[in-house]
Amino acid sequence: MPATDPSSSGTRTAPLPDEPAVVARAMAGDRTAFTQLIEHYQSACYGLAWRLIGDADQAADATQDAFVHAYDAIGGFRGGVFRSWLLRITANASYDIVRRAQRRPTTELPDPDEGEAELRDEAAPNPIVEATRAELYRHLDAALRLLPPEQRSAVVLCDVYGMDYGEVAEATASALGTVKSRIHRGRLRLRELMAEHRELFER
Amino acid sequence: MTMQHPVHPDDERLAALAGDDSEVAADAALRAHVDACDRCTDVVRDLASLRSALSELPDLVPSRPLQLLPPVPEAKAPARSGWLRRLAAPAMAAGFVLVVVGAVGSSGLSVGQPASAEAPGELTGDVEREDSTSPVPGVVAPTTRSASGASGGPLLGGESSGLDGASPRANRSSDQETASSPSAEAAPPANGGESEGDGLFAPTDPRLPWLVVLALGVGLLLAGIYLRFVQQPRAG
Repeated sequence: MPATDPSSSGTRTAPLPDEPAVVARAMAGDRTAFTQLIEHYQSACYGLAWRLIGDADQAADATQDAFVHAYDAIGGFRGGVFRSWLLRITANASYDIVRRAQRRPTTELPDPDEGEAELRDEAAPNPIVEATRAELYRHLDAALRLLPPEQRSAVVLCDVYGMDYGEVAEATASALGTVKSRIHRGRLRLRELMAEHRELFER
Repeated sequence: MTMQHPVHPDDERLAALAGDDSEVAADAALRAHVDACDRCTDVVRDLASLRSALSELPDLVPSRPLQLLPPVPEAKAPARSGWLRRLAAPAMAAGFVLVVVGAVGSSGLSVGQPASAEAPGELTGDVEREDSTSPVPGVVAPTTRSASGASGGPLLGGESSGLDGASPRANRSSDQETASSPSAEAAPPANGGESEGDGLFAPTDPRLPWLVVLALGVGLLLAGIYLRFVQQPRAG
């Protein structure tokens, strides 16, 4: 039986107001600053891991591994967007988990209709709009899980988490042309899968 | 109005166009086709909406509490221990071997030394003579120079008569000079120079190399213990 799907945080995590300073302190070995960053982005990391892996427990394992890798590598952070750096580490940790799982007896991906993610009812300005959006997200996540793994990874990294083609190619250790093709095919396949929910886009 | 186009562009190119792919976006013919074709316009619009919705997918709350900060000793100690810390075990092993070798070597020589060295009583007598005749050993008179060879006696508690650089053989040669050549008193500079040269370069106590080995071993042992048990991994 698949584990219960995780709850949505309801939003995307925005950068910390003083993030560059916090990152600098973390790079200098300030464990409190590192904890602050990780606590802030743990939902983003877990969301990526869950969308790449499709299993709640394995996603938690991958996220935990990513934190350890990030702690070891924070001293070598070369600047840029910390969230993107952390998400790349999470993606790699997720692929490691998937590879390890493939060496063991396979685990079925959870049924998209089972244990669907619950949205928090967080101060929605318009309950109807929010409910519609939540349903759209739920169907989108379900459709993503129906994509072939390579297409799912590429689409999740590019379209969900905003990586460019080059970053996706690096994260997935694939050629740039291959990545582009996977993303484009994945989008087209998602369009087919979401055809019956087209009204949810018109909000 | 709907326009019919016998040949549509490849859907993957439409997907690239919806994704703001700069290479495809620069294709004027493709853009012109999409602008004129309802079917392709729908595809691009759907894909753009899809991308927009994907980019808004919310983050997810972890299914279980996660440890935000890895435990330092297990995660960091191996990476931070450094090459110096890895030298602790070899240093302790080498130190132990040197201590054993040095101790065995020096103790073996100590057992055999009395047979070849002067009687301790003679040296003690010389020291007593030196104390009674001259406050400046080894400089003023040959008679006191002979005693200066044993000046290590009082300093080292009398157990190491030659550690100050004057061996029993040097003592003997000085005594012989004193006994056989009274004129030595008349030419202190020449004899004094020769005698001091002997004191600097003459063979020393046979135990000295073993004691050096022993001291080196103790030093290595202590260094190894320091590196292994005292020095903490670098922080930060």
